[in-house]
Amino acid sequence: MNATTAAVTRLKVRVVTLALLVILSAAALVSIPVANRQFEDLPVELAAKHVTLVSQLGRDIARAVDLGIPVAQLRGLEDMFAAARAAHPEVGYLTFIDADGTPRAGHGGTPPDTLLARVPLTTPGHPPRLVEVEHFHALRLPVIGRDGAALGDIHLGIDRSHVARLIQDRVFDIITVMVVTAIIATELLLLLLDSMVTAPLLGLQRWAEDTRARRGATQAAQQGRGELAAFVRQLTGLSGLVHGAPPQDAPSVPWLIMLRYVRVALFVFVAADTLSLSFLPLFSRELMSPLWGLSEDVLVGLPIVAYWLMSAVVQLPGARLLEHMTHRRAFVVGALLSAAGSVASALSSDMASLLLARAVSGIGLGLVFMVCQAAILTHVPPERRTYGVATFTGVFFLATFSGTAVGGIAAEHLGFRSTFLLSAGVALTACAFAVLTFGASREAHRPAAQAAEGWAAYGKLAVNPRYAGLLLLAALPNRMFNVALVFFLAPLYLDMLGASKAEIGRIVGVYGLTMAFAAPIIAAWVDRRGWQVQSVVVGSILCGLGGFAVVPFDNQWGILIAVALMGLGQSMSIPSQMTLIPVVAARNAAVLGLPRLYAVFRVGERVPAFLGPIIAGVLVSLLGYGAAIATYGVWVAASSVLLIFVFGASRSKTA
Amino acid sequence: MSKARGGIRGAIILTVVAVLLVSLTILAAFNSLYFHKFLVNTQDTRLLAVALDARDALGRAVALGLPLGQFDGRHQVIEAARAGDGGVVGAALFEARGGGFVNIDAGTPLPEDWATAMRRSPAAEWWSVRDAQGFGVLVPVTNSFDTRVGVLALLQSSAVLDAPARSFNETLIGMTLLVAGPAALILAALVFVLVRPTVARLPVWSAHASALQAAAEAGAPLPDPPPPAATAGGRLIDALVAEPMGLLRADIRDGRT
Repeated sequence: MNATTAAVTRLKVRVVTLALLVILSAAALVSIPVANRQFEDLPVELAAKHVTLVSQLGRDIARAVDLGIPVAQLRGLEDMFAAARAAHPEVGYLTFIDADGTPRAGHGGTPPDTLLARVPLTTPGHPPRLVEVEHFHALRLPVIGRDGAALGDIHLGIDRSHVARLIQDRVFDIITVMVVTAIIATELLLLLLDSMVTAPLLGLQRWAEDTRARRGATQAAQQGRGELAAFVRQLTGLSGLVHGAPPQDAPSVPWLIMLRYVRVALFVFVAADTLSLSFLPLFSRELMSPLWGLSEDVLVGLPIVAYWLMSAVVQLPGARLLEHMTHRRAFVVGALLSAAGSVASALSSDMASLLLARAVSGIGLGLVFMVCQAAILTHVPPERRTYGVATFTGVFFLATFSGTAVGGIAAEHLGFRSTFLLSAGVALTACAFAVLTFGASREAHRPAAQAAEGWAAYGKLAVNPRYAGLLLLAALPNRMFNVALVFFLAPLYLDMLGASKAEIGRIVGVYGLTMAFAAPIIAAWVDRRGWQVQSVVVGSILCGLGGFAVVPFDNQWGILIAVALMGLGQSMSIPSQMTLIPVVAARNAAVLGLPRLYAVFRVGERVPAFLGPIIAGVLVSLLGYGAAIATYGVWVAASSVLLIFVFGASRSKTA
Repeated sequence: MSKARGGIRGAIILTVVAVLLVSLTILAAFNSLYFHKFLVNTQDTRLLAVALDARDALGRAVALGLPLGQFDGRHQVIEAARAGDGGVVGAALFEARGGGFVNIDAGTPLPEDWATAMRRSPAAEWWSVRDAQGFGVLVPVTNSFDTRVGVLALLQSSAVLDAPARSFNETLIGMTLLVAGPAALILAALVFVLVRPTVARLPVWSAHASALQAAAEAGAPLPDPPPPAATAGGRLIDALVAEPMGLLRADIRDGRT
């Protein structure tokens, strides 16, 4: 990192840190008094409901007394109160005290009579009068007989912990919203700083180099907006006057800036695409209709299968498409397909139309995924490609976290179909951004394969034990477990456990967040030590161990641990797999070229990944959710142990 | 140059302040949505208690073998429900007829939105619905064989939400504005201080470049380079520009000789 880049990085860090500090502090300053206000308002609103409940209970008591049963001989009141509490779990106690002050029946942890005596009477037709008694918001309503005589009072207590839980749920949602806002703010500010400061400063640096070499400044020095860019253009003009016209064939945008554009376009697109991640199985269940005689457990996973299958299948034809299209055009095609798929999902009326819609979205995802990777490989110089790929991985999962979390909240408030439409709108925003920023220049094409392809070359690749081992014993099991757990088992199991859609979004989103933050750190550490093989094996074992978490913790925590360990394990495993491909298949790469090696690997791991949810559906119907997740864990962990033997055996053979 | 100078600082300050304001707006909108949804849910469950009570009364008549449409006491049941809860503004009883549900009194079919809600979650015990009158609940009426013979709709006016929602939103908007104003000012001032050094030396060097170009074109004496910057931020531009500008000056001078 030279002095210019270091100075720009310092400026970016300071501006972003300052902005985040002020934004998050302001958000906290608004949220705390608002939460307090809610703590006061929610019990009052809840009490309106309880007034109706108590009125009905009182009416039943009055009806019995009117039939001639003396209050002292009323029976079954406890059962009636128990049923009411079961229907309204926030009710901590229900007690009937007759007109003489004698408690006749009660259910729940009723406070002492002396405390109940202090509760003011709420007259029917008037706003409820609540007081705090022990850990309850207490309410008291009269029971009036047909002749207008007072038969007694019913006391009801709203458990304060219920109100606290409501507030706590909302606080989690607000934290999630603020984290996502911080991520988006950071991306936006970095884009602005890079286009207004970094780009012209890099241009200035380039101008300085050209001037030292006594040549006219290149076009790269003339890009950007604002007074820095204007200054660079002025200096370029002066250089032109002294050293002659600038060369015309230099790249138009510095690679750091192009990487930023790709990063932002990918972020917006993936965030749009993952808005539906947390609720897709629930939406599938809503549209459930008989199809091909498949069971409901299997059928509900099919839209995810179609989505992933198509995103993988499009890889090989997509590689050819990129040889004939600019990155900009290919991105636009992918984003438009994804948006069309989202609109179609929103309009789908049955399982068949949803399947088709998700398949179209999957093709869009596959294309955009490929084009962004290709753009990074094209624009980023070879010595910085690891950084480029790490950026790609990091932003993919940051966007996945953001999209999933926001999608969960959006679905809770707007509904599934509106969230799909929102997803389409955001995908179109990504499309517009790519149109504005992705170059249409010649180098924006992916280079064509250098060597002729042939079945024999692919055959040799297939029997390369370390390449095949890496694919079949690491990438494939990891991917299948990943798709099955994060996209299928976790949302459905959490729904079964009673988690809200927002909670499901938060827990599923932990996978992306772990990947986004852990992957770059772990990758740098693994690179320094050259421990790629160990990283793949340990990462896979961690993923497998996550599957066992649901055995001791058969609740939301178990799923959270499984998802988090999946994120951590894949942070170790996936980048190292990518680094190992050219190493373990160096001879094959010489014949087929690296891009095809990667394409085959991606197709090999992703096409069969569609089986993940199907197998999961079968396992769930046979064993239940917990055991299905654990079974996957066993498979992934066992595969990684086998991988150690494959690498060990092939190394000794080579030796 | 001087016209473009506000560019970077202005754009960055505007963007960070916009991000701050959008963030706070999202937060406020989210809080407001949450509270509104809580109110709707709470009022729905209150109304549900009334609707289920009325439904049980209707169910008892149906259990005796009386078709819903021929049960004369149905108006009494609905009026009792209205009397028991002052918030009820509309009630309608629909009877199963010809594969759908028809309003017993008006003869009109079940509104399409409501029928869609029922189709979407056929196993639900009740459905949340809304129409021009307000919002409410739809509960099924079943016979002894657990067959749906009708549905009862109770609606309440959206006005029940207005007062608490307005009061809450006023607090929310007040707090948001109270915080947003000072926060925006503080942020703008701090960002200005952070960014200023980066562009502070541009006018000096720009003027030097202009003077150099004018002198080169007119054959006039070449200007001396500006003195070094005093601040670290200014030194960044100096470090990038000073040496190549010196080379350019020398090349112009050498070109003349």
